[in-house]
Amino acid sequence: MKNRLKVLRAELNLSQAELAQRLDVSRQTVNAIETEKYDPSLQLAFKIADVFALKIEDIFQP
Amino acid sequence: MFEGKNIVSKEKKLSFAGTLARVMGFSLIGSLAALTLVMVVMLIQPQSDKTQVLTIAGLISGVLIMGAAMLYSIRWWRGVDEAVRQAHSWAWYWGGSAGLAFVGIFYVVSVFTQGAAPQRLVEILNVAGREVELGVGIATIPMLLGYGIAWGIWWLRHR
Repeated sequence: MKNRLKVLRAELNLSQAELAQRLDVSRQTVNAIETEKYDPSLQLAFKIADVFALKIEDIFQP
Repeated sequence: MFEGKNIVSKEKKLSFAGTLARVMGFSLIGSLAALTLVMVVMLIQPQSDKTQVLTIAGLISGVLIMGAAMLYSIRWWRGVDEAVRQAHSWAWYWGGSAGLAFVGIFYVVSVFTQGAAPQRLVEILNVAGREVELGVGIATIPMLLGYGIAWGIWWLRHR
């Protein structure tokens, strides 16, 4: 699944570790999502959308 | 402008190293408790059946160690994120199953040789009288190895 996580994170000047802390996941998980090697669960996708104050479909595209 | 929320769980997490340290601590306590029990019983009643005393001591130690391992595993599992859980689930299925297939081959060989091949292994390894331990090792070591390899593969593919 394609996503804009890396771009959005860069816009907020957040490191992977900082975003991971906000999402309550490991930095490796954030990296795996950014590199599109891991698709997050719906619950985590909602958390990500919440952190960036966006809709899920604004971040993830099938 | 960024208006998102800072979502951080307040639940105290337990690292893998922390989990391992606690389980090892309980293992030490369990072993010391069992050893103390054996010493006390043998001092009070030197004519006691040694095997019976050691069996009870082993049971106490085993229950403490495995109970601690299970309890801390639950706490550790609750603290890890979904990718870590998925890596372990994937490793359990594929690595554990591959290891089980190896055990299955060993079992088929044993059936075909009517137990002669395992008996030869017992002789080679010089573990006569401890066949149960050998069997447990043969059944679990391949699965654990498979688990570890599969876990590594999952992270190599998803990093």
